[in-house]
Amino acid sequence: MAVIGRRTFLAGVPLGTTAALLRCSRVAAAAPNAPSSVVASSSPRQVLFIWLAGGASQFEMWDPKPGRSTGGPFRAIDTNLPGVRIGELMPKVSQRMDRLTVVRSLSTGISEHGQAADLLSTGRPKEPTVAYPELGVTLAKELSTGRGSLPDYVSIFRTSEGRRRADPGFLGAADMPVHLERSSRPENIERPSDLDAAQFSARAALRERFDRSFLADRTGRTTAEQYAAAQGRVAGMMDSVPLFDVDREPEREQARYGRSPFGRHCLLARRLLEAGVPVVKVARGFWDSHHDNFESHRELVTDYDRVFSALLDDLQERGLLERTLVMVLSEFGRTPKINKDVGRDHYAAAWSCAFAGAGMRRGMVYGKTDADGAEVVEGKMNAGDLAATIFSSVGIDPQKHYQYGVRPIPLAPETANVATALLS
Amino acid sequence: MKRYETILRVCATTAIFVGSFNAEATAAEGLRDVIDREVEAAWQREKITPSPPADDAEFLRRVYLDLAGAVPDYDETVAFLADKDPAKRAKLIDRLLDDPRYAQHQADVWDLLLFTRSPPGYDTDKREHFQTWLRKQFAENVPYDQWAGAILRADGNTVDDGPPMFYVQYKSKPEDATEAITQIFLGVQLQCARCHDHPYEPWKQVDFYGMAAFVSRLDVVTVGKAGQMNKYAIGERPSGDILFTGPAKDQQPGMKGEPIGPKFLLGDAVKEPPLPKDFKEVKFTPNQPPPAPPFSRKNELVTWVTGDSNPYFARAAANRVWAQYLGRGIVHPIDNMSPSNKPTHPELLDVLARELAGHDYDLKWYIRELVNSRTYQRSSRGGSGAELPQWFESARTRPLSAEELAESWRTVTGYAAAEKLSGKKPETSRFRPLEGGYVLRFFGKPYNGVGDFQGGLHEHLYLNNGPLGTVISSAKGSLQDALLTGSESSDAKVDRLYLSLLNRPATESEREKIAAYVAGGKPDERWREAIWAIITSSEFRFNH
Repeated sequence: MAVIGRRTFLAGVPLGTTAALLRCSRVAAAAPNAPSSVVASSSPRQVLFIWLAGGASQFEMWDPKPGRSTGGPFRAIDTNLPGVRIGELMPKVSQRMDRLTVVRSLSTGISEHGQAADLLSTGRPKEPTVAYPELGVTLAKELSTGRGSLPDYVSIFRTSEGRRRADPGFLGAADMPVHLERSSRPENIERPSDLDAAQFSARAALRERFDRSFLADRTGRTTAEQYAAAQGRVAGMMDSVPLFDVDREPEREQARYGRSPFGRHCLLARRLLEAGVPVVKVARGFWDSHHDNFESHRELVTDYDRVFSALLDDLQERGLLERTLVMVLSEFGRTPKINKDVGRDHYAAAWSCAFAGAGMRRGMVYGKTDADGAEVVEGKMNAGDLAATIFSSVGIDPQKHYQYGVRPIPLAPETANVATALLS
Repeated sequence: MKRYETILRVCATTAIFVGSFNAEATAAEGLRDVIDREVEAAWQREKITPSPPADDAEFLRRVYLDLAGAVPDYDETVAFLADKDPAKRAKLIDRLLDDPRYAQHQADVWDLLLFTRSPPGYDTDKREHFQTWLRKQFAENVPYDQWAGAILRADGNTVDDGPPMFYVQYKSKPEDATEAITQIFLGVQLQCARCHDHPYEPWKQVDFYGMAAFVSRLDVVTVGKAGQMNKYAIGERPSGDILFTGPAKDQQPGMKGEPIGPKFLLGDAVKEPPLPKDFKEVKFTPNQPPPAPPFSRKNELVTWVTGDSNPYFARAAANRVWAQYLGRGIVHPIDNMSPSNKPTHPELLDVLARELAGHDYDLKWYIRELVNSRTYQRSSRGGSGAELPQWFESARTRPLSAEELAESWRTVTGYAAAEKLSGKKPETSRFRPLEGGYVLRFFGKPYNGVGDFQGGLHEHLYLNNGPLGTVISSAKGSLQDALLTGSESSDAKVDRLYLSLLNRPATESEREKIAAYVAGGKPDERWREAIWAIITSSEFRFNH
């Protein structure tokens, strides 16, 4: 299905919705003032997905409530956006707010880690009979140029806490990301030690000859041909080993991102984006602060502030910010109530996320919570709305369908509304 | 919606009528003959040129994989190809159907269908007792309606018995259980009707919940422990109803809803005896077997699903098992048997279903008929290039499962033979010497949601640079050892290579290619590389 530009839609041709109606009777739910097939007019071509696993606190980051019983000990500070204040643990980010888009009105309903992570990373609650692809997988599939030897999606999740693989779901293994878990280098990317380069290619050439003669007149050759063709990408992937080595960056660059694992991973992400990988995910764990929320956030947010600011500057200097959507998500936020262990628990009723780069309207704060941060009072978005808005911002029609068996499945739920005000 | 119900009923009646008129097996004719007659009549009608019959080698590898879940070893291959007995194919089929690997392979196929690679629900990944039970059903050739009924009846517990594990994955999710039961055992997809009336099919949302009502009172009860493993039983509460509130998109908080009672899919509602006046809802006590309810909806469902009055059960099974061997269902996709999805060979499907039920759901008999047919024994050469030929004019191509690959790699490289010869007790993993979790990650989910094969870059990286080399054993008894130390001619060695790895003799050009390759370097390294190149090739990767 063709992607529908906003102008086309305004001209009164909501193709996405019409096609959906023809296929499945449950469509037709999007509110008329927020059609769910809107897409942004100038679309990024790459996505950097930062995942704060465990649930980062909106109070200590994007939506501070100083002076309230829910506010905690930290102050709010001014930013370079008039009238917008964020948590004092992000002084560097505060001076870059004009490049950011912050959503303060997420209300996503589920506050258990696994289920909420499923919800936020697919835009839908988990259904046992349909495994939905993770957002990054769908984005990578849509943004893939289908060329070159680099993977379409690299997911960096080195910390053990809350580790999840970005699941291709019903899309299957062909859309599986390259996972960097045990090492910063993809698995099976280096030649076995008992083969030299000449042996390796002689062996591969022999295999290719076998394939050619087998495929000559065979039933199922289309499938087998695709299978054999994928072998041709192996050498290119193996050549990309140096790309995964951040030590090749000049000392100055390494210092800028710092030595923390999160810093190293963001630097790696920048290398991959610069090389043309369509989607990169960096996950940072240990946000689940049931105990000593303020101590742990003092450490985590400070690191985040430094790394994220360096990343934004670097992406901008290299011209990457113009073509990259940066999105910062968690499975949920944290409770207004400060518990007896000076922690904050899971909270999905009112929390925040942030964007930068292309696709979303820069320098914008969207939505509002009440004085205590307990409820959303303006611009409420659920996980489906968020997914639909993300797809729209990257120029993908959220109501585009993938076929799963007999069932056409739109990228975002049929009921999702795009927050059009957020789109650039 | 009414319109479709009528169409369905009319279709069913007509089909039975036509079937009994045209396609029925005569006394002298076996089911295999009806299959060939019907399939070949369709070729005439559709003006299709079939592929030639499969040669012995092609048949041998295919039937081993399909019946035993692994390829034959060198000795089995040589013996079969040399055998002059005109009945050798039928004899091999009989032998494989009685091989323990038949039961293992069938259990693998059904376990994957019942649980998928990543089943929902806690502890469903530890289901070796279920798997053992399932294997026993195939080893003893228990009739399909009986063991399918046992899974749905779920008597006993998950450790001492096995079957209750099926429901454990759907704990507190009767809707999901309903989708699975109807899809697996009835071959129909009701999932759309879960949220709304289906746009093209006869079933409405209330039909979905009428089916869900049969399992909505089920609960998972922990009844003990076996070592670290929990034992679960399935309890059924005597009361409780699904409250139906209409289409999912119209849901509002606080909606009350109408109770929906159990009703068979497009069939009758079940009349339940009223509960006694002084009735109190049962609470299941941990570590005690849950008491049976005064009236069991679940058991009503079992009787109906596996009984004669249900129009789906036999057809779904006949079509599913057909597709297992012929690649494609007569109705395709196999779990979408609906009035809007027409069979390619309607009369044949009627006969298959009737004969399977008439033979008391004897799956071994049915499979024997399928694989003895000329239709199954077509070559995969020629043909349209389609993976699953619609008119069964060529054999289908399917990727080997993760289990088939591991077992086949071990067999063909002689790793298994060397292991046996060493006298050491082998590791128990089915994926040895490869790491099981790793093999499953790369090869465990070969298809996407519409059945397209997904082998790609990850798989090739694993094959090129991963630990596959550990299977290419050089120990005494292995293929590599035989090639290096044997005194045969170079041609004879290449033949051994091909007969071992691909279960066929090498062609003239392959003999030359391999001989030149081996001569181009150190023989041990070159033989090893040649083995690698063949066991990672497409010819090995697929069953064709």
